[in-house]
Order: sequence, then C-alpha cells, then structure tokens
Amino acid sequence: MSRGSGGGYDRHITIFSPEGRLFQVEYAFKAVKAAGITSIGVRGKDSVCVVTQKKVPDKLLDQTSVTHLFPITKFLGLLATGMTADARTLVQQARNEAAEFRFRYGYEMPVDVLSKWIADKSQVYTQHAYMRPLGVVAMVLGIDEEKGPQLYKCDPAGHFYGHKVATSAGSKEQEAINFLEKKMKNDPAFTYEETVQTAISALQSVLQEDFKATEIEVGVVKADNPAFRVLSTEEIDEHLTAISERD
Amino acid sequence: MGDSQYSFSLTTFSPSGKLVQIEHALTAVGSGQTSLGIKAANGVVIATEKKLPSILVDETSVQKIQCLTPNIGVVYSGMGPDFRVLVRKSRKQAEQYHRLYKEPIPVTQLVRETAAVMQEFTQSGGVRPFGVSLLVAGYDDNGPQLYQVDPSGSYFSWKASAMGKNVSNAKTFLEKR
Repeated sequence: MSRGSGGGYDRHITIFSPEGRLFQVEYAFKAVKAAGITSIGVRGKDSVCVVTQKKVPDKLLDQTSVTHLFPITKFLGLLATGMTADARTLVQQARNEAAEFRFRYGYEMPVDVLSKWIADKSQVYTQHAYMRPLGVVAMVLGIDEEKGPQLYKCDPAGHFYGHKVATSAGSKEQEAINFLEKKMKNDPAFTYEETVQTAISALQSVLQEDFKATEIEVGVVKADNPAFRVLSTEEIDEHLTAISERD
Repeated sequence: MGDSQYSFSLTTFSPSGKLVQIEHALTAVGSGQTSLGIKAANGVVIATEKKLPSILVDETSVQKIQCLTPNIGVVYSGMGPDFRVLVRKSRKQAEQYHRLYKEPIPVTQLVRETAAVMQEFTQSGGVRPFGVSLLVAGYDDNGPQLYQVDPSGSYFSWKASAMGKNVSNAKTFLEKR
C-alpha cells in the first residue's frame, strides 16, 4: 500500500502532501468559492452588519426558505458562505453548543468563544481522515458585554480572526477585501446607518451590479438593541434608496 | 480514535524506512512564520513573527504565544489550528498533574506529555501528524528551560533555537552569539 508516501491519497483525505500542504482543506476553500455567493461583514462603533447575495435558482422555490443568515442565539448571528447543507449542520451544532453554554455557565456565549469553538471543530475535520472539512466560511457577529460589537470569521482550515472594521468571504472575497482595505485606511468609526450602507455599497461595487431588496440578505446587531435581526425587504429598500441618493 | 474504516495508521514506513507523513509535516512547519527562543542565565525568552493576512484583521484577537501554566509558555511555527489543540490538551494535563500532586508541573514533564500526544497522532488510526513545532519556555526548580517539540513527538532541550522560515539564517545568528 502506498498510503504512507501519499500515493495520490493526499488529495482524497486530509493527510500531508510532500510540500506540507493539506489538499482537502484547500479544496474546501474552493468549494466555498464555487457556491458563487459573496458576503461582506462590516463592524461600526456600536453595530455590526453582514450582507450576502440571495440567489434563488428557481422561481418556484419559496424565497423565505433560501437563507444563509442564521440566528444562533437571540444575540449571536452566523452568516454561512459556501455549501448550504454543510452550513446547516454547523448552525445546528453551534445552536446546541451556545444553548449548553448558557445553561452551564449562566451567561450568554460570547462571540469569540463561539468562533473559537467553530474553528476548533473545523480543525478536527482537518486532522481526522474519516471526516472531510466543511465547505463553509462562517462569519459570527454579536455585541460582547465587555468589548462591544464583534465580527469574527472562521474558515475550513480552522483559522479564526477577529476583524477590526470589515471582512469578506465567498467567490469575490479577494476583490472585496482589496476594496475594503482602501476604505478602512483611516480606521473609521461608523454609525449604524453608515455600517449598513458601507456593507451594501461594497457588495454592489465588487459585484458591479445594483441590487433589488429581494436579491440580498442583511443581518445586524446594534449596541442599543443587541438582538440579532435580519432586516426586512422594506428596511433594505430604505438603505438602498439612501445609497443611490448619496451617490 | 477514528472510524473503524480508518483503524489503520496513515503514517506508514516507506521502503527506505522513513515516515514520510512526518517529513511532510516538517515541511509544513518550515513554511510557517519564524519563531525563536533563547535561554538566559536567569530566564527564557520566546518570540515570533505575527504577520496577519490583512490589515482588516484585529491583531488583539490573535495570540500566537500562549500560557500553559503561570510559569510555562509556548510558541509555535506551522499550522495555527493544530497549535490550539495542543495548547488545550497541555493545559489540561498540567491541571491534572497539579490536582494529583498539589504542585506545579515541572517543565520536562509537561513537554514529555505534550510530545507523547504528538507521537500518538503519528501512529493512531485515521489521523495525520500535527503540522506544528513547539518552543516551550518555562522556569521551575531546575531553573530556566527551553524545549523544542517536533511533529514526530521528539523533543530536545536547547540553549537557543529557531523554527519556521529562514531557520538556517536564524540559527547561524544564534550560534555566533
């Protein structure tokens, strides 16, 4: 058996390749991009907003059932970019974990603790051959009691980072990050409206199309209302109008 | 550990007698960010590069150097997620020692137990070796100590060591001093 030297299996399960890479993890990243959706998250000084495309492949589908934004607890939201089925598994486990945390310790699970848990679970899939990594990049958002608004991103490799101002995931991730880096040079502190509008206009600019309210999903948390909320179509419309009037 | 279908080790000997998965793991370490450690007469210092993938990342959310006990710290080169797993296991082992013996774990013991975990993953079914090398710095009754642990599970005590990218330049520099 040539398993020990890789023998082609380094592409099939998560063992090292001769260059020290994990091909399965890299392919999981490609699966995230192949979903064809781009998402953007922006952190303001007292709110966090995440935006993603909503592509409904068939007109006969019930649009309300097509979503990538999931509340994990009342106060924590998760935006899953990539394979929807893998996203649902992750969300289910995260909801369970957050509920147990609240029961066990008596206070709400903080954003960074949930992100670390998701990332640690992803790491297990990169080390054990019998389970493949999930094809999902998760953006976790919430208002932390001590640190204020928080935005974390967890990827299939098990990395997780907190983001100071903004981040992106999905097929046009790199273009979006380049765009956001330029905008964020002066470390701005956005108000709630500015946060939402920056997120939506960044997505529009990177994908080079103007959206209708039904083509995007927006989720927010605010310091004065820390419950995670998905914006309704009317609210999204207001923001879109504000953006087009501004430009 | 692992599904029954994977109850064979993935790290097996090649015809020339090498464990190739471990060598690949070392390659992964060698392409990681540089870290180094120096043992002094009255202490130990460890340091690492902290290059983040983008300026958008909040650098306070990333901590590459971690505390295992109040007097033992660790830094890594290689894969961050694997490092987190080892930190968690080591902290638990240190606590279990303390619970049993009512004294802080000596550095050598903790290094030995961490190395044993890393060796397990080179021999157990259905798992791959860890893609990290660790530099463990500690101060106990035997004075300041610095250990390097490799993905194979072997560990050595060093007066000064480096790992990751450009390790040969770093080691030449350290040897001269």
